Amino acid sequence: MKKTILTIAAIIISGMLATLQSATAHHSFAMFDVTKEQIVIGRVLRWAFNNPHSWLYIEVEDEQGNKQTWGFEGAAQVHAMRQGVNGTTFKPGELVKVVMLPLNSGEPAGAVCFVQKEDGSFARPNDGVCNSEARISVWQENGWLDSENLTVYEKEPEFM
Amino acid sequence: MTELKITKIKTMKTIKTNKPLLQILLLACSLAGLQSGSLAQMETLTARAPGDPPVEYPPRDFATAEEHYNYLLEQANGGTQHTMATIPVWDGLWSAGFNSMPSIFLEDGSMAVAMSPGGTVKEGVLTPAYEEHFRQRRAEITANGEQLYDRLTNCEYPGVVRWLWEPYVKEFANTPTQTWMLNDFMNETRRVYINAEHVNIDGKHSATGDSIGFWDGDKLIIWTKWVNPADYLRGMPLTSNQMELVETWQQQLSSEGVRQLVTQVTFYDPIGLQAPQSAVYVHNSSPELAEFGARIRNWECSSSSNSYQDENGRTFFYLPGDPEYKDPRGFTDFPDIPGQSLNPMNQ
Repeated sequence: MKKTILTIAAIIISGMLATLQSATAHHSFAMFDVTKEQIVIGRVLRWAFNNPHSWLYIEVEDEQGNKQTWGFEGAAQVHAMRQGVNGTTFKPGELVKVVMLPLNSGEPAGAVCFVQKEDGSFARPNDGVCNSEARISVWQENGWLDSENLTVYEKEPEFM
Repeated sequence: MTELKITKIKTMKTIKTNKPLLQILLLACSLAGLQSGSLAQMETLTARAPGDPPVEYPPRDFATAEEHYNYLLEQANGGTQHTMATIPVWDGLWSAGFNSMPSIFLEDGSMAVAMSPGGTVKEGVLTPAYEEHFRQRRAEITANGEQLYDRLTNCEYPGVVRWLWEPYVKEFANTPTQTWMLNDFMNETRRVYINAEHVNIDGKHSATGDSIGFWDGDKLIIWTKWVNPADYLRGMPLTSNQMELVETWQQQLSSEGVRQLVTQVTFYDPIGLQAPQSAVYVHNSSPELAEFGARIRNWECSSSSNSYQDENGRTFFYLPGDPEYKDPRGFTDFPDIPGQSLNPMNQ
């Protein structure tokens, strides 16, 4: 029960922070579908540790060998640094699992929540639209990190 | 290129509890302090804490910022003439902390209220046109969860009023003749000319305006004018091009022994405000940022931001493949010449 309460508390905090921290970003987050999270697996093309936002680009390949570039917006440099991320966190060619909030438009991009690297470690370059610490716990607890590429999880109302 | 398809859509399992929601919320609030990655930002958004400084209102009503500034200058007998040996040192990196500004415009206004949907607009603080615009802005936030478009999206400078809180990194350098206030955000540096008069040979306003000041012991008093119209903050009212500010800056120690820069501000905006309004802002010393290796770098907004305002007035992105897309690390005017990449570190 204690674990359940802690999980719910973390989720509530996530919601609080997502709302409050929207003020700290360079733009609104209205373009993202905050009702969903999606896992995208691919190899890093470019890690742009930039202001006003960092961007991680990866190449995603489907079972037929079709390749597509996906882009994920993260936090400004100082906010990412507070979360242990810097300009050398991602290397071109490395395999990553990105958990992100997709664009409403359905285009291959979104707001990064967190990234799992090949060695199992996590990186949190996210902006305020997602509380990555809480979401990592939820994904680990539910085993969702082993999901098939591009799996989307719809959030229940109490998660939004 | 073939579109990749979403393979599955799943529903998150519902987590049930028999504990009252209030209990969970209280636990969540207490845990908020443990969210290390978000702690710094969370601190800046909370309501007033017991140790936060109160607003110090002007000693009497002043019709203009000039009148206010000149009164303080007279009270300080012309000001303290510091040397490099005596001038206050505000070294290190600083982050925005508590500020009381939202309470000017919203009932029970805190930063948390200001950034969330809802909130009741105080009547009679803003002039009618500005109050009506503010109500529309708050209604948009309530309807959509946030303000859909912000001037920063197009890399417009936030301006001096918003500068007072923006939650990035700041540095302060005092000399007997100038104070420099550096914000990494949008490379906005304020320069305060000590014991000087206002000068505007440019014949125009700017994001940070023109600031003059004097020292009264360890307090720096600043008068700023000729500021571009902007916002108090995202989600807060507009400021007019007649906004002027009188600020008093002083380094203090918090009850926990943390170095703070406390800024008492009075806003004089005869177009936007029905009467001058005062607020207090706090910056906290942030030595942990230096430990991370943080140094203020050039803010690259116009060359790397792909966000824009779409035809519906909402923020959106240009993405790879769009003609307007700017590669934030790959751009060069001279692709055939070696050494022109902007990303030599990992490309």
